[in-house]
Amino acid sequence: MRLNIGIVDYGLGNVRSVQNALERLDCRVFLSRNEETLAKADALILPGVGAFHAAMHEITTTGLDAILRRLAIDQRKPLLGICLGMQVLAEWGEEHGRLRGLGFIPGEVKALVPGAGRKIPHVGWSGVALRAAGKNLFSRKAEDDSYYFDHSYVFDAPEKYRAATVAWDDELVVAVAKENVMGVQFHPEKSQNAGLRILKAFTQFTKTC
Amino acid sequence: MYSPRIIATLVIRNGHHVQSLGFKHYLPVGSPAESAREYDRWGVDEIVLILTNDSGENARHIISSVADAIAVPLTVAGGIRTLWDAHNYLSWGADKVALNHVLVEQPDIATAVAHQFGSQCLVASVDVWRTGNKLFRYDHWLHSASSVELLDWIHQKIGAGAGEILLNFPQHDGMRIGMDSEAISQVVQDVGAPVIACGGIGTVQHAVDCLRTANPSGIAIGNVLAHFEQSILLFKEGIKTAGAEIRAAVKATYNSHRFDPRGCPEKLDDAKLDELLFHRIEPELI
Repeated sequence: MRLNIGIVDYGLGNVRSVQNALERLDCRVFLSRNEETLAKADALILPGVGAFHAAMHEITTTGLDAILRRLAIDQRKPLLGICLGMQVLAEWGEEHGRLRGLGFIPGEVKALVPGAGRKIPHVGWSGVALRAAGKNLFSRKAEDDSYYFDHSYVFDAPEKYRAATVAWDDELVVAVAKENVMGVQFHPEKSQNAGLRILKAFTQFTKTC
Repeated sequence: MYSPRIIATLVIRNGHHVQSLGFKHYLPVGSPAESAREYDRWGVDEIVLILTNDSGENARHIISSVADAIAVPLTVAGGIRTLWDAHNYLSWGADKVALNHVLVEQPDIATAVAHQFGSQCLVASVDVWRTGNKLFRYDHWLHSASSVELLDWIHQKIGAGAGEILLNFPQHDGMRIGMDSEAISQVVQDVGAPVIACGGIGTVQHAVDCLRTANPSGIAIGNVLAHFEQSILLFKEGIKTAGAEIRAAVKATYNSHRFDPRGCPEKLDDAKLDELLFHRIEPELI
């Protein structure tokens, strides 16, 4: 079965490489912000780079917040947020004041704190430690893989929804999952075969839904 | 924590990937997309495109063809004059844009780009000129040092919103004399943003020396990567063997090989090659 994947288009982020990666996995991919079109997808991807407030502004003014709530929460369509697209899944964002996110996964987005040997933004390749909640995104072998990160904020999610973490000062949550809604802080579309394996796992999960 | 990045720099002139010598002379290599595709397959951590004279439709073709060929982050430098140029580069497939001369001519552009697209996609590219013990920003038009002290300039750019610093060394560019690790170390210790160093790498040992003494977030390698097959793999193998932390991106290794002084693997003995005929190679699963 060839999957239809809808990339949520709200004008932020480099969607071209997400599209290339999914097409390499033999998915049909389209870009849209229209509810009827997105409803036809088997799964949704919420991309994004840049600032939390800019993203939430776009999402709320285009009405995508309500659309995504109907599709991902009410109809339980699999949704994967990437980078900023993962952060906006949170209840709150702390950037130029406290702002509401989509609230699909409990938690809050906070600024990374600089310190000895810790450069901000957090840019580069890093391996992750896996948690039970990440079973639909990571295989057990994923602990040998590395992924590409580029971010200055981090999603502080409760223990239960942490899918993967990175050792930093304390612990950075770099993947979250709650039932059919998931998010990764890194860029799977920019992480060579390791990243393709994450997207593949997401498509496998979609097939079981 | 994360491993330092091994970054491939592709200098582009008239639509071709070229080698650059001292920012003045150029030797042709081939198609940018084909070079990038190979580097990606060999496990590079990031690719930096430096456009020296292409613009408009040519730039669009180069950036989008490279972006479509790879699955690693792509930074593009050169030819950005306005916020609109930065927007175009990003929409054509760049993940980050690197600004250099335009930061001198239009100091406000850094803030504008950072505000519009976020600091994480703004790289301040700085050319470093050493005069004795002192480090200055290099002036492209004078072809020598400006009067601006290097660290002052870098702090200014980080304040304006740059998320990463790319240091280039015209005095080392294409010379294969090793990197200016002392200068790189000064910058790394002084600034809070990630620092990438570029210029002068001729051998694996040069990369190892720089990673050891200066501890940059990444090193960018240009010309020498175009000299032999699987160059990225060989560089990473060499760096790993020397004991530095590195991301192993592909399963293939050269850890049982000996290397010649140029850094190329020596031929295995015949008995070993015969034995390899019967080795089963498992394909990598995605």
